[in-house]
Amino acid sequence: MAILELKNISKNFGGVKALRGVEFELREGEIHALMGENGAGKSTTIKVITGVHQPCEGEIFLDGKKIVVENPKMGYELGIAAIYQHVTAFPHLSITENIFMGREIMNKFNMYDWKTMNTEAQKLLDEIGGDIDAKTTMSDLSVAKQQLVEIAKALSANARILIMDEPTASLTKVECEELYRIAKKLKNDGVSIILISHKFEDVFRLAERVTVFRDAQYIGCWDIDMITQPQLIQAMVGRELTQMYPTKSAVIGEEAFRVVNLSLMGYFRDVSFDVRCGEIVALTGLVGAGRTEVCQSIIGVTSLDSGEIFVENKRVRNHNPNEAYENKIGYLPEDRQLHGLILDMDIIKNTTLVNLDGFSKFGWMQNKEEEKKVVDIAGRMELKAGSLYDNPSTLSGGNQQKVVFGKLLINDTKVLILDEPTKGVDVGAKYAIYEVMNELAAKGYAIIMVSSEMPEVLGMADRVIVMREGRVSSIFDNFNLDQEQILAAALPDYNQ
Amino acid sequence: MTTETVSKKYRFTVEKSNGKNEVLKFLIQWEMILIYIFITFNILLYVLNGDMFTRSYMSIIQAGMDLSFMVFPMIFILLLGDIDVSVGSILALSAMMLGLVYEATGNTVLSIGACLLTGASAGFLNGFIITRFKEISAVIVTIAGMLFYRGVVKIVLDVRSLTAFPDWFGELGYSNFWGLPISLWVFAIFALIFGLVLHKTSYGRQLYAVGKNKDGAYFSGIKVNKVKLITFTLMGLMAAVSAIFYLGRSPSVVANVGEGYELRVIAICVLGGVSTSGGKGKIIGPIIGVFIMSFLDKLMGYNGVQPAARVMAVGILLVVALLAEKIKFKQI
Amino acid sequence: MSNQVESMKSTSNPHLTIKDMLKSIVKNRSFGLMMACVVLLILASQLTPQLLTVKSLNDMLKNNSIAGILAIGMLMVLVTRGIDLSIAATMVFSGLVISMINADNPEVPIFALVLLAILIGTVIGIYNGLLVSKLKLLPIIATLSTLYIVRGLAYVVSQSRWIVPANYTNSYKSFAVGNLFGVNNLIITGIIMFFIFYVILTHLKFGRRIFAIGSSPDSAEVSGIKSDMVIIAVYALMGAIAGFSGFLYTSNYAIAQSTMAMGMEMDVIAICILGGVSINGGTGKISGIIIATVLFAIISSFLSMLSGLSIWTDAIKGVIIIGAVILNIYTSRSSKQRALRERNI
Repeated sequence: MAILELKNISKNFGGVKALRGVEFELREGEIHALMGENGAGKSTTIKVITGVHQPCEGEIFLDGKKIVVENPKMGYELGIAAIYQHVTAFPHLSITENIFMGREIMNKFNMYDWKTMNTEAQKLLDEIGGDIDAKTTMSDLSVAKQQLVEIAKALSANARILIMDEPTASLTKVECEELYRIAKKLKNDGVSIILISHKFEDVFRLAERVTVFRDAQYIGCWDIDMITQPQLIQAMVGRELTQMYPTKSAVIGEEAFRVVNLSLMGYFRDVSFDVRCGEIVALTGLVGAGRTEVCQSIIGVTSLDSGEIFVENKRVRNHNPNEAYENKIGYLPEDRQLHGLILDMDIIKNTTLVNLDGFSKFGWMQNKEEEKKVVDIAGRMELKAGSLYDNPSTLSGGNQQKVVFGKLLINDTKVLILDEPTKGVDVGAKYAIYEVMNELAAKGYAIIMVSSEMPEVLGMADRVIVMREGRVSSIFDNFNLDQEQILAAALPDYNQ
Repeated sequence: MTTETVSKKYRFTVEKSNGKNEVLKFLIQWEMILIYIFITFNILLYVLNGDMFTRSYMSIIQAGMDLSFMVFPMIFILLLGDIDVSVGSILALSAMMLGLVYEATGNTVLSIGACLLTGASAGFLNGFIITRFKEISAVIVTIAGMLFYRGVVKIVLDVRSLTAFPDWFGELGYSNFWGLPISLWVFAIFALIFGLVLHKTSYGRQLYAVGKNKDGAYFSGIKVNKVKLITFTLMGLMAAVSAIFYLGRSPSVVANVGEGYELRVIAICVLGGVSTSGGKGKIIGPIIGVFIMSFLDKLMGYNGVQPAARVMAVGILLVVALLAEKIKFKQI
Repeated sequence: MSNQVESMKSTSNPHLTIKDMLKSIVKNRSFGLMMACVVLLILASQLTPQLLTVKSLNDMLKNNSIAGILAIGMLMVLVTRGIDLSIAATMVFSGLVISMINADNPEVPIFALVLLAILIGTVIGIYNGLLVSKLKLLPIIATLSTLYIVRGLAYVVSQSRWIVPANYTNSYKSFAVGNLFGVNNLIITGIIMFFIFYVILTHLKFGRRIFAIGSSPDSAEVSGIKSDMVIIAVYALMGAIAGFSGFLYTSNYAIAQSTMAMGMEMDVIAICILGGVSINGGTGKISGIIIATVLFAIISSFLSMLSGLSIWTDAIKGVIIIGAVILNIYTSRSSKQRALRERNI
């Protein structure tokens, strides 16, 4: 019997459709896996169920009765609890207090009954196992143990539906086994679990059924015995390449950039690849595979433990982004609003920020020169703006991204690292950005494009580097390459 | 290239403002409001204390000058989103060093050099710790610095006071040049230099960028640490400059010289429209703020309000300025 | 992995080894402070034998107990990610007001005066709380303006009048001089206050809410905590404590004028920082405040006994604060490294 049912749920954020008529059914006491690519709509679905977001359309049924979850607190009271990958708790407080926040046990003087709470918390923790002392401060625990605490918290609130959002993403093998054991135990106790995971091991070992989303839509639901790994991948990526990509005319030349055995403890290890002039290389993988960390280490934001970087066969060392620019490496950050732009500084000043020395004589800013250069670049980028003296905060996402691109062109760079260049950009602007990328490649730039979007990777790249759990798992030439191959290389434990 | 041709060729212009209500906007901007306040104080002073107004106008200005030199670098520090509460102590330390070296050598150049070097070093030390340990906020570092620098002065001076200084220091405090106080001339020169540095140089651009979005600036290749280090060193240096003018007005150094100056300096900056959360503010506002403060001080003084009570007006002015800032940014 | 589990257990397992126990004690910040206290005390008593007499211990703690009491309030403010620069001004203002009443109307009972002082402080505190929570002003600047206003107000109210020992009634002055079981009343007051606020901060819903807000404002909002009300209450309590301290201060020194205790707010903040209160909010313990207060007391009285070395106090405080903070950073950096190593990529 279904404990939770989602019928025809839709959700829009501004103009973006995050969910389009999604269906989902959770039976009592089952573990139900929910799979899909990055951005397929899994997280939004969770947020609709837990009451973080309100659906624009559709209905939710709990025990066959229609419900409206107005906020997370209400969701909690209905017995729905979610455990997120990044634990959202009170890091300075003890485990006991985190578990009992909002439902404290008081003694007859209306004071905290720490003794009872500690015992209760300890009982809960012992029940799920994992050797955790309830008096420990939350921030002293590893991520794995923090998740266990969140589970304990959910159980103490009598949660009947437990949502686990990529619970094993940052766990070691041993910790994963521990989590599997707990998940199975909970299931046997009658808790229904929604499991979101990219790992086939999680899904095939735990789940009874699996539902797949793709492009904010419901694709299908299968019993786990009735489906194979290749079939699941097919379901997850099986879309047509509808997006048009401009044809590329660049001639691929000599090697422009090479990294050898880059390692950073806890993030990535032995990452090696090279990029040639005029080449666009895609760096792809799942969220958390270490792509952004690699890029930021190359430009010196984080220091490397070991490894070598070569630009045009010359060894370079970058201790900060400034040195990276001096060594002809430009970086377009993933987070445009936070790292890419200074939103309340006008477009001209934003653009020239990367090369203030070039626009100043003895430290004196040459405003006319700045204006001239930025007018030129903005024209090439086909920027749509009221005035170049407006702030980027007044621009659309696509035009903001064009300003960030403009920053890269100001400098005399050779290597461009573009971290999710079309994230949050509408279709028309995307095409313009692709054109710029091709144009730059034709001019001899070596381009590294970090992207999670498979069609974009296949449409734009000459070669594809796939990262998995901090390592390079495969490097493909983009010739007869398909999405299945890439996804298979990106998934942590896919076996053919 | 005219605006006309730009807009035809491209999908944007290089016009700076949208023209409408420009006059009104100009008239109600914060700096103009400060000028109205300043004028109001002048009128009040004229009406209430007519003879004082004409006789000692210049000395009113002089009175506010000694801490004014610290206002400029404090603007920079606030623009960065930081704060420095150790400037009063640095002033004391530099003044003491000047006195000690002059006492020992009688050499003016040497003693002034020692004074400036001391101030700059103290500022550098603040900046060094702040940039080396990013986890500590500037407030804590400079609170510790405030205690430490003041502590050194107390250790060296104890109850002693230094009174031997070059004779011409008095001229700095009280003399006129072309009818205006020398300190005002120096103030004007510094105002010009700092104004140009802030609004016209790449360093000034970097100050704004770091203050508005530190990470964004860092990713754009700005050496955030270097900018901070320079700014805090500059702050220390200007505190030493202030020390010289302070000695010009009251040639004696005791252990509690300049106590509480840091708060007055910060108050002038905030009154002048510099946001304490960084990235917002111009040089002109605090300049007017300096004059408003000294006129307010004297206006109350001439009308029988004792010094200790005058700080109340400073506080009220400050909180009104803060609330005005809130309302201002809500509108935009 | 198994090692990690072992160390996790160490706090609850009764069969822990001595080495484990030592490790967990040394890791504790209060322990370091306590050791510093003990070492200093031993050192000081060797150099100045008169330090360890009951009288000098009494004096030592008496003069610092007011700063310690104020630090309790500051602890709460800092935990909410705020700061209050106006406390010394508030203390002086309320102390001055009740001192004048005491001088002019000796018949008003001390009890009523203390209540009045607390009331004045609370009103100023609520004002600060409103500025910070409802009007969203930065605490440091908002309370700076309050500092000016209240200092000025103190002057206006007193009209530059000094209340000297002769003006006070004996019962007013005798509070700070009096003893209970040989321990000075101010120290007793401090101990009682520490106890009361220990209970509030560890056992009452209100106290725990303060920590929750400071630890994660967003999570607090989701958990249905009314942050604004808690913040106003925290500043109000800070003000009440400052007002109460006004009585203690004037009783102790038997003097009141508007410019006294200048800069004392910084001393109080220094105690908090040394006591392990994070200026970024979320953490802080009463025990840390107590030890830091005692440490400051030892330092200042030790220095004052060594023939006029009291002038070293400020410089040493400055060094101690920055040293304590930097030490904290190194420990947190190394624990972060350890966490990364465990990820095993």
